[in-house]
Amino acid sequence: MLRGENLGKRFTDRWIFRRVNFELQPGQVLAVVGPNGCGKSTLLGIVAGLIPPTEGRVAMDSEKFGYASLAGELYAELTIAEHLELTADLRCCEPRTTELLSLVGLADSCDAPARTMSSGMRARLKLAIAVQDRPPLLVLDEPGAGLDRQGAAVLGDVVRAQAKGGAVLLATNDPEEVKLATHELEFA
Amino acid sequence: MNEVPTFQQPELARILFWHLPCPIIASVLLGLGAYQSWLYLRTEDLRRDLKAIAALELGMLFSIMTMASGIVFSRAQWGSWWQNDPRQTSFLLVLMIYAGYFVLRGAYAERVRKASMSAGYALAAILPAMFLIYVFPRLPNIEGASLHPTQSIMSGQIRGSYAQVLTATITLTSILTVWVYRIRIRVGELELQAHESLGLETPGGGAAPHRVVRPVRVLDAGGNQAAKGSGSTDTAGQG
Amino acid sequence: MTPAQWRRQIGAMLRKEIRSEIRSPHGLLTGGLFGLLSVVAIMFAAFNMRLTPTLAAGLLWVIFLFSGVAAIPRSFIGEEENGTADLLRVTANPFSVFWGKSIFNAALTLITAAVLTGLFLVVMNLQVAYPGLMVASVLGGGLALSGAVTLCGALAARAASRQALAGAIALPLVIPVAVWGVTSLRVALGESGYEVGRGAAVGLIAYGVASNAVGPYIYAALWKR
Repeated sequence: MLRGENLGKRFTDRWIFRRVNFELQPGQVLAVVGPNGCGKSTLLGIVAGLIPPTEGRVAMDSEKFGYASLAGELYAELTIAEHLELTADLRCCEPRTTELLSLVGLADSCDAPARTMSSGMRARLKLAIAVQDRPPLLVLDEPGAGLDRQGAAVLGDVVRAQAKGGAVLLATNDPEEVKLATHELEFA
Repeated sequence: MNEVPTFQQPELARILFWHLPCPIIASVLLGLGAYQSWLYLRTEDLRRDLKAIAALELGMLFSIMTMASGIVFSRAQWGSWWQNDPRQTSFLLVLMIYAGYFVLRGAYAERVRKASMSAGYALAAILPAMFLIYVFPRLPNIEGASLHPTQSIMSGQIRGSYAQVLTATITLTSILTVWVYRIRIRVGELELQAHESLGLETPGGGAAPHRVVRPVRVLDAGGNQAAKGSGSTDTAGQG
Repeated sequence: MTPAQWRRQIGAMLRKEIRSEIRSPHGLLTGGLFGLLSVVAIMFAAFNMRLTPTLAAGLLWVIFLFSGVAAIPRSFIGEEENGTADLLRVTANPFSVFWGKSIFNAALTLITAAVLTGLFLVVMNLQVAYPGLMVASVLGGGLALSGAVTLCGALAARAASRQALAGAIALPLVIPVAVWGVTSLRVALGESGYEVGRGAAVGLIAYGVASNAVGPYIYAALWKR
């Protein structure tokens, strides 16, 4: 489903990582773990196509994937529902607004503009956006940061549901999230 | 016999030997730079970016020489350094367009992004640049208002020894340009090689011994090394 | 993609831009205020003077250029500064993003240009000889500015000093547009040479179509780099 072949990334004169190889099959959850600054987010950015690798390549069976990142922001002036409407139109898929907001526990806040949302609410909305198109692969970069216990449970449900037919690539420092994984890619 | 009848003082026409090859070569180089930029965007080969920057640097140089020689001629022919002539102004604008290329390039530190964005700009710039060099001076309301001769060559107004010397300077300048262009590419290739081997690499491609390289392992749910998965991270420079 | 899918995607981008602008009108305020201040500055400099059509057209185009260059690049620069660019990169296709933003920028420029032109004509006591040509000139100018300056905003969006850089690289590219713009506008204001003015307006519109046709391809090549 996903293969990273000899991936390496360099910024100006410093290599972040080199010769990283991994393979992810349907039904697997691969957690990328390691200390701060080791390149987890960079690796996920490369897989998502947001950062070009210095060397190596990423091979995916399907171009369709869902991505949620701690660093990614939302549109401050748009409401939660408008975000889902926007991403659905851009992907040409069904918005599934009611279903997704119920899934992530934001059904009561659908008309709230993003700038009024807490970091936990933003993390839930990003998760909803990531799974909207029912992608075979989910790429999640520290998805649980800012989530409360209920939010963490939602994340667990989403990851487990995804792993039934698809796969998840997850970057995290949270031991509870690592427990969701079937495999670990350790940047030791 | 006056071999260049359009010039008030025929001996001033010798400026043509320097002034005329410059915009011709500059526009060829600008086109070449845009072409190499397009190839870079297609192939992501940094050597194409090298060729683009080499062409555009030389194109900029010849554009500056065009302006400088034109300003000198303007002073000699019409009595002032700057006539606010449409031809002068349009070529100054071409210079500014290409100055924008170098400014944009300098604003990015990362190599690939620098190359990509400047390639995009070079492609966006080629149409207005060629319009300003070839179309604008020949627009009906502009051609009549400009003091700059436009038909000296096409109407055969440069004759005899002037024509011979002009042909020779265009040829020699072109040869010189190709030579300098190739040297510039070679310098760029050496810089690229030096950049790629900077930091961790040994000549064999492995990590330099004084840097710590920690292994990347893929473990399965049981904490055992999975069959597939490996890599390395460099931790030098991290706090 | 089908035409319906194109319409859906471009429409979504356009709706997003409009919603953001209505709820937080940075673009309109920036461009509008800049243009208004330019008109007032010219009023101060030219009091008691009667402007010729050529001078008036030139001054008005200087106002268009600078207010456009101040406001338009925000569409891409804002995405990078606010951290929302990656959301677009993982959900949208670059052509839809570019066209959506360019159409919005064209509309913004046209609104600003229409208001500033009306104000300029009134305060400078200018007569319009050919209203149709004036409308074509302003329309074509808006289209031409939006295509080129939107692309420059995208090129500069991830650089240092991006706002100033976007203006610096966009202005030289759009000053040739001003050549046509001034030519058509001065004829619209009463200068002789209707055929030349009409040709210039056609050139403006053609440049606008070309820049909006080519711009997305350049943007798509740089989309994820």
